[in-house]
Amino acid sequence: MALLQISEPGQSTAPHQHRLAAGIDLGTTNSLIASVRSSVPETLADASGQHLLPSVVHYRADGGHSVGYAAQQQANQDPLNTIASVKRLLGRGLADVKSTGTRLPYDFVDEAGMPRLRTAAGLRSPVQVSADILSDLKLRAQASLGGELSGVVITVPAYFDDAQRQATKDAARLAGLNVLRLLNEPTAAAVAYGLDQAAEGVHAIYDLGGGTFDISILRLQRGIFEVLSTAGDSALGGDDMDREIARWIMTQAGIAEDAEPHHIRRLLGLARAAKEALTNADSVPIDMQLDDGRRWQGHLDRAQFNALVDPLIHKTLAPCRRALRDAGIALSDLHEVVLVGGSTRVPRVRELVEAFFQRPPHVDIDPDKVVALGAAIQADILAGNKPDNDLLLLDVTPLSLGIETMGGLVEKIIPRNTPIPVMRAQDFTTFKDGQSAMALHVLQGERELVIHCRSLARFELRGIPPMVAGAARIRVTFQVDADGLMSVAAEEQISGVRSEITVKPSYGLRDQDIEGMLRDALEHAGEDVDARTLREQQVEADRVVNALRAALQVDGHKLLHRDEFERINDKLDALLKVMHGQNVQAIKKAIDHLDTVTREYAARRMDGAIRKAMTGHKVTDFQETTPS
Amino acid sequence: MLATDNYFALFDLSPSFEVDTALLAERYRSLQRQVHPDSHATGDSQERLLAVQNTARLNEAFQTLKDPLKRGYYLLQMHGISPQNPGVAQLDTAFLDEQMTLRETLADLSQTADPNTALATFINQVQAQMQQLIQRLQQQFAQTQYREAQDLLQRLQFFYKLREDALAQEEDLT
Repeated sequence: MALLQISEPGQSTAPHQHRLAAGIDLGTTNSLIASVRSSVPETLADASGQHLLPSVVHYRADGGHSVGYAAQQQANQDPLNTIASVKRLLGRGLADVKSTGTRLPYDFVDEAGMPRLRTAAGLRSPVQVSADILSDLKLRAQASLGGELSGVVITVPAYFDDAQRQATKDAARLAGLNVLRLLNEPTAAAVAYGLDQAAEGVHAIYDLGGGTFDISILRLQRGIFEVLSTAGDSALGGDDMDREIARWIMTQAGIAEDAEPHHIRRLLGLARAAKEALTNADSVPIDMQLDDGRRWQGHLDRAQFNALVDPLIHKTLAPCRRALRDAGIALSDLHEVVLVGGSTRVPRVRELVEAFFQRPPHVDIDPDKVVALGAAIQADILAGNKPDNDLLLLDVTPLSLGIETMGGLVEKIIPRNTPIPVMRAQDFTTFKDGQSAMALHVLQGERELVIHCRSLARFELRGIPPMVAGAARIRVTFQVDADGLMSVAAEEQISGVRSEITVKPSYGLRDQDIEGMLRDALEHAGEDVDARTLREQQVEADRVVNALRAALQVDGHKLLHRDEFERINDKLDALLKVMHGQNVQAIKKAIDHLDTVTREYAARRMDGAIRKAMTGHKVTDFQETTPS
Repeated sequence: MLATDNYFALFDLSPSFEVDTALLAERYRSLQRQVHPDSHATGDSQERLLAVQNTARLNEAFQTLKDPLKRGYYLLQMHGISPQNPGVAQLDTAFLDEQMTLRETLADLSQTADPNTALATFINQVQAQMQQLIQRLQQQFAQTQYREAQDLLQRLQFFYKLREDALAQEEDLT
């Protein structure tokens, strides 16, 4: 909340101390946290020197849990209480999870469409499990950076839809993290890579992780990373390779399809080890011990492995083709192909990618770390630590957004690969005489039929005054912010009746849920909430005072009348009086008051800043008419 | 400020169907540096909201001017000609027949021996026709023949849709 900091966009008004910020790669298989220290981004290690945190959480009957390697060790003995690859469930309904053909060895409970997992510590939603992973990373960062994080940038697959993004943000809130930005993984990788290599030109980022695939085409030019297009599959990754191998072992060893969860878990573990060994070896031995005393021993060679995974890798090439086409880029225009994500270590992936793009791909930066490093760079900038930087990321919507129209068809309002933030309006009308309400169904996807797209939200515009059919003008406005998150508003133009929602799918969390969980979490951790709030308000007051003083010094006398100036000064004095005291409410109130009296001043400054940005603006003969 | 200018003025360009796309892209990028929410990340909520709105408008302007079809319709709109206006000349039947034939050809392509190559050829032909239309549009706009331009834009729109469907078909093949 509160106050202006805009002498020049991109430059802070007052010198301030370095804010602790971090980038988090919340991965399907592994997660990482990185931060910029002495101008160099680096991933942060835990107490035992490990950088990767396996995205695995083990829940115990005493209500406690462990995360990472410790949890991973429980996977075989206690599979139902050990949650791995939870990112595949994030922001998805149970029906989605099942329809992707993912066989996860968990005990699902379907509650109003939102999947929860039954664990020894009680029911857990995918958002909660993700929050537990994030909390672990947060503690690691605070221990290694020596202070509270002021904000984080969390990466998401570029092809994540609105529900998946919202769920990621919810998980971060639940972990008590201030999210500066959700950043697309390939874009983050491009930042780390582009700055490292001082690369210019058009690049393809091929990102195959544990459970998601993204391809992004970006133009890098003088510090601006402009995403031209993105495509992918948010349910395709190295996990699927493991499953193919596991299935092959099952067939070879004569293991039944409906094997026990711990069998499947062990098989997946063996499969993964075999896949990793095949990166360097031509053949690996597999030894599977069964419960009934039987034992299967065999070999998996490179050729057999390639045959198993080829269909999966081929599934990544269609999106590559589409991304190139959407970007209007021919293969010959492409400067380089960069590989990101642990699954690009598989030699067969490199071979097929090289064949498709007709050039050897780049693998200079550790494909596991590059995303977290890029996120750290962006976090450092967004926290305000790099006032003179010239880095700017321009991203796009991965999927088309639309609305249901008559006959179960989808009318696209924002097509995929539109640069964000974006705001767009479309007019609709009533189809019955005297119709007083209109139901709106918001969808995301490329297909023409509603049933083939992802349903994001339904809401109603009520109170339309009686009119003949076709007379009402209902303007539906979509907005997608820089995080790729959407909100929708509907307004009847003649009567001014309005309805507005932030799109939240039914299997996401409601705000009340989040607050409830936060309360529980805080009580559980035994933190002193009051002290924390007080500290936060004091920091905020400090920021406001510094920003305002700096701004006033620059143009306060130019932009403000004497009485306005004095009014602001009065409120500033009032804040200064209370800000070092213990009364949280008084500080908050003083900030609010100051905010109110400076609002007009902020608007004038903003306008001035933009006016400056317009290169030689001139008045023309034409007035713009409202787009229809 | 951003809300009152027409899209051309925003980029300091004079309204014209012919646009220097490289210059447009360069100005777009330099404006983005000023207005993008990331350049206002440490500002208050009001400033950040403004940044989102300004960037959304800048993006809309850029998308409109970058694309010949959108640019053409936008120019017509500046001259008070809206696609919803009554009295818009109907496209001639010969053109509609031709489009119908093209659509039938497209529908049959997936049954051919080598649908990938056939589709690629088809898409190239469609794009060549679009290019021709765009050149004619340039002349009509230069001569302020707006009614004729509107007719050409409608034709161009048919080809856009045709190309989109062809591309969707190509995607389904893979």
